[in-house]
Amino acid sequence: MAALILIIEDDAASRDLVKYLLETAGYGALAVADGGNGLRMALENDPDLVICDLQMPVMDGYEVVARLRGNPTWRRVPVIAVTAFSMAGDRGKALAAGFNEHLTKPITPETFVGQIEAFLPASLLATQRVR
Amino acid sequence: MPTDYTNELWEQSPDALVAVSADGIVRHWNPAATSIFGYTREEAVGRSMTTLIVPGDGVKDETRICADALRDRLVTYESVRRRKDGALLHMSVSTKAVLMADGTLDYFLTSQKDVTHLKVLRDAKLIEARFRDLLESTPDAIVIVNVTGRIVLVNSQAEKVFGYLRGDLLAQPVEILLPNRFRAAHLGHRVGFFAQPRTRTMGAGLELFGLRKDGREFPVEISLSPLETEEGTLVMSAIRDITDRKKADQKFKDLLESAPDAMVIVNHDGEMVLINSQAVKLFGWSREELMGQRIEILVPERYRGNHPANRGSFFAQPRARAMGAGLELYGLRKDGTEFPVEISLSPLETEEGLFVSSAIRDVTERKRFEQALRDKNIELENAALVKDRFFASMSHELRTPLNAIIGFTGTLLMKLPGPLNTEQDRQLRVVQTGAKHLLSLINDLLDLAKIGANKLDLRLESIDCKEVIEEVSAALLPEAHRKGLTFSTDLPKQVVRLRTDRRALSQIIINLTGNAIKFTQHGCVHLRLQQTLTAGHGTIAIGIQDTGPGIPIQDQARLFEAFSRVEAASQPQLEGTGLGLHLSRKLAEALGGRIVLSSEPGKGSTFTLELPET
Repeated sequence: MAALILIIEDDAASRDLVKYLLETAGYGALAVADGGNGLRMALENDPDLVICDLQMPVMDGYEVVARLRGNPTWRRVPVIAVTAFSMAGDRGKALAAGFNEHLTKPITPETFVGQIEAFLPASLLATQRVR
Repeated sequence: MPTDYTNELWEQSPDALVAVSADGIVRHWNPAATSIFGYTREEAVGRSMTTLIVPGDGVKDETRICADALRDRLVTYESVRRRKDGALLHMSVSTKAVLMADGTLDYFLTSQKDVTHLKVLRDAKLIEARFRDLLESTPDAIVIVNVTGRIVLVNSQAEKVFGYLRGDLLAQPVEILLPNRFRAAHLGHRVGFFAQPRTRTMGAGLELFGLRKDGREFPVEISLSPLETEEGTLVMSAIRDITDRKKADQKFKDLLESAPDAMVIVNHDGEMVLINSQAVKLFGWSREELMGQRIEILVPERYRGNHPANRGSFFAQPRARAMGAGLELYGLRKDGTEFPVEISLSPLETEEGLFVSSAIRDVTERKRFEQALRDKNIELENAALVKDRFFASMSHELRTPLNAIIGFTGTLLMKLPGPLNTEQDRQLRVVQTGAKHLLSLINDLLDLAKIGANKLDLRLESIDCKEVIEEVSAALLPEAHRKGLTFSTDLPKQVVRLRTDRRALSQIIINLTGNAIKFTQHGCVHLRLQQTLTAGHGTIAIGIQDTGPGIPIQDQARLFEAFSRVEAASQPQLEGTGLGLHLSRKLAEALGGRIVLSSEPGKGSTFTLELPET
């Protein structure tokens, strides 16, 4: 059974792109535009992995990951930051905050799905791959 | 010949003839008296003779002599007389008491002969005999005068100093050695000295001058001492020509004036003895107001208390130093305003003892400047912060739309939504190339901004250079082959370790190698790694050699500037941000190295990255 992935991203085009890539690869994808909805969706739908932007209005990525990590159920779920922050120290800051990986926008569409799958157990990989 | 001599003798007598009544009043005064003493008959008759011509200390003698004359009828003696102009004369005086028929005193008749000159010769003889040899041996010019102010002796130093021969000076009034303007006053001083003779300096605090025979004046210092002899009191003056010292003093003052700082010289009691005009200007007092005042007048009230004690300790251990190191010092102007100063002190040894010279600098301007500089620095730091934030958000804002462009171009080209025809595929690749170019421009600009702000995140670690070159080669090999170029590497067998930032090193090699491939149409691109040792310092050289068009020498310098692409006629439209070489050089410098270019048009180029081994 392929993984269910939650996408929290305020930029509609980026959200659309990531959702498209993941669904095309055979994964279930839920997409929301802000941190608050993201947390609610996580609790309701129990996703296997979370992709989260860092800079968002109302609740940013750092707070989302802090809240998730504060809940025992969510302590081990992979959370990947996908962000346009590429200044010195951004990556280290993200990893220290509890993210499992920090990917910089623009993402590379050819390799993006592979980068995400690296954080999924084999049992949750999509069987049908379009590539 | 006159037939009646009675009156004629009175008128023609060569000696002064004066008739004085019993109460001392002048009754008759002959023309010789007028010419000797300077008073006319009208001025003299009716006044007391002693008041007229007897110097103060001679009055008592005169009374006694009159008593003698009354007893003996006639007395002859030598005495000092004073002329109307104050000059003293040495007179031989005969006084006769003229009695009336009843034997009581009618009047005194005195006959007075000027023997000043004879007296001088007598004194000279005496002094010569007694002191001549002694006085020749002193270094100072010596002039001895007698009570009438006539010169009775000069030594040869005095002859030399004043330019006279001894014979010219003997018996002359001593005033001959003074400039005209001082003569009248000197007469008075001279009489005053004889009234209270004691050894002392002449005219303390005044500028004294001597006059040479040739009319030239010169500054002198004179000390006076009385010389008691059986011929009466003489005065010895030792005269020192201080022309040289005055010159030195003047030089010192000039030096003081030429100093850029305010200079004040203070004596042991803290009194200002020398002040330059810079100090006058700085403190707003006039020189006259400051001279002799305590230096504390220039110190703000709240610092005055300790100042004398500090001054004392400086005199106890005098050495040149800055005052109150590390303290904020202030000066006080006449108008009560204060200003920050810097003061350096130095001891000044002089013939008159130890002085302290203080150089005072008004640092108001500098303080203001320093403050302005501090403000500016804060402003710049703020500006740098603003710039950093600007770059961070610019990077963020530009990357977000690029994400969608590159992403969806990619999905289309991956044919995820469905097949593409050839033209759609070609056009999408143009979009993709443009988007990627835009991305590298953003990345390069961001890197440059980071280098400019010293925010480059260098992670120094020990890396294997061979490994980095092999990675870069593997990445760029397909492009070289696509263009039909030979791509080769020349690497040493052993591992080449270097402590550096892997990402920066890799970026430089990618930039240089990418350029080599881009600009070379035929032939080869060759990468070589070498370890060299120059002057005990190991250097790692990574050379990227191509068989491209080469770069004319005049273009080589500006090749590394931002956005300066050297246009090659054969390749008008080449891609690149125009920042690659500029960035590579900046990165090389950040790693402590440099990029060396060797190129010749038609023969290709070699860019060599040289990094020091640490």
